[in-house]
Order: sequence, then structure tokens, then C-alpha cells
Amino acid sequence: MDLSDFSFSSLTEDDDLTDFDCNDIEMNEFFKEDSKKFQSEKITNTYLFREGNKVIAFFSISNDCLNDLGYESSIWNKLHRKIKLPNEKRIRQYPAVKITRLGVDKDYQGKGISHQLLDFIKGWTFIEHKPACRLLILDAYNQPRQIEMYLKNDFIFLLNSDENEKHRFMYFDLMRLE
Amino acid sequence: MATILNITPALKGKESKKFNAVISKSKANKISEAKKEKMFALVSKIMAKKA
Repeated sequence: MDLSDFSFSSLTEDDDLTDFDCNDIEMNEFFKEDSKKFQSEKITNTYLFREGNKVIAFFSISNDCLNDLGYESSIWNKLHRKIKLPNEKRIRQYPAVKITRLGVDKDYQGKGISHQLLDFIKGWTFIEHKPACRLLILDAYNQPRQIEMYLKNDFIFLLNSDENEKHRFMYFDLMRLE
Repeated sequence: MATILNITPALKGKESKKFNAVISKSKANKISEAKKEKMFALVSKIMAKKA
């Protein structure tokens, strides 16, 4: 099954989302009940792939930023405070696009659509996104199937500390497409 | 709006060190040309159909 067989568009107020079901209550709830409101509030924009009028997959994205506070040792921090040196702690900010939600309808799951969807988002962000963007970030369900899918698609864990959380933050460095 | 969009956490300490070590290798650790070509072809095909 090829993702390019389906029509691609951004979500509009007129879109009928009622038939979509990705076998995930939270994801369905976001898509059917909240996606239009989030879009009208300019919090996250949603894009659809459709076969006729039926939505077969969607993804939602927002601008984001990864703040990197650095890794200077605490001994140096204490020394700097003691001798009253100005705070030289660096902060790096990496512009990013966050994939806030992504879902594939249950009738189209297991056919490679998720992988193509991630390929499309990577390529599309790299080519079409006008402001500089270094990273794609997402918070994946911390379930083997989902995590394995993102790892297979070259996403990397951002943290170790969320290992036992419901979601895990992961990223893809778009520099790898340069 | 019932949905919560999780805020991306700031990196510090060991996690910052690990992140910097990984991204410093990104220019060398490129996605293969074949995979890139396939990815960009998919984007072109979809966008051409949209236009």
C-alpha cells in the first residue's frame, strides 16, 4: 500500500472525522473532539490522508524548541557561585517540529502506512518547513509496538528518565538528511 | 479541550551530554542516499497530487 495513493490535505472545519478509528481511545478522542479546536487556536495543525471521504491516517504538528541547559559539573557550578562569577551556564536552543499526534485507521494498520507517514513527515518538514528546524520531536506511547516502530524509523530516545513513564520523548535529527 | 500536549523537557546533565554526543555525529551518520531519495520522491508525489 502506497501513501501517495491517498489524497493529502490540511484539516478543515468541514471535514467529517466520525468514521475514523485507530483502536486507541485517547487518539480517537483527540482527533474527533479536539483537533479542530487545537487548530483554530493555533496550538497544533492537523493533516489528513484520505481515500475518498474516509480518513485513513492523520498527523498533527506544532513548532517546538528543545532547550539544552548543558552538562557542566556541579563542582564547577558551586565554585562559580562561591567566587561570584557571573552565571556562564550556556543554553542552547534547537528549533524543532513536534509531532503531537499521529494515527492510522485500524483498517489500514499493518500495511506499512506508519513508516511511510514518518518518512513523509521527515521529508516534508525538511523540504517545505520554512523556518529553520533541526529536530523532529515526539512523545511516543511507551509500548513495545510503538517504540519499535519509531526506533526502526531512526528516532532516538531523548531521555533516560522517562523510561518507566506512559510516554517517552524521542527525536530525529534532520541534519541526517543534509 | 481534553487533550494534553506534553511539553518538551529541557535537557541537562547526563542527558544533555548524551544528546550532544549523538547530534555531533549526525553529519557523519547520514541517512543513506537511497532511503533519502525514496523519502523525497514520496513527498514530491504526494505534493504534486495535492497541487
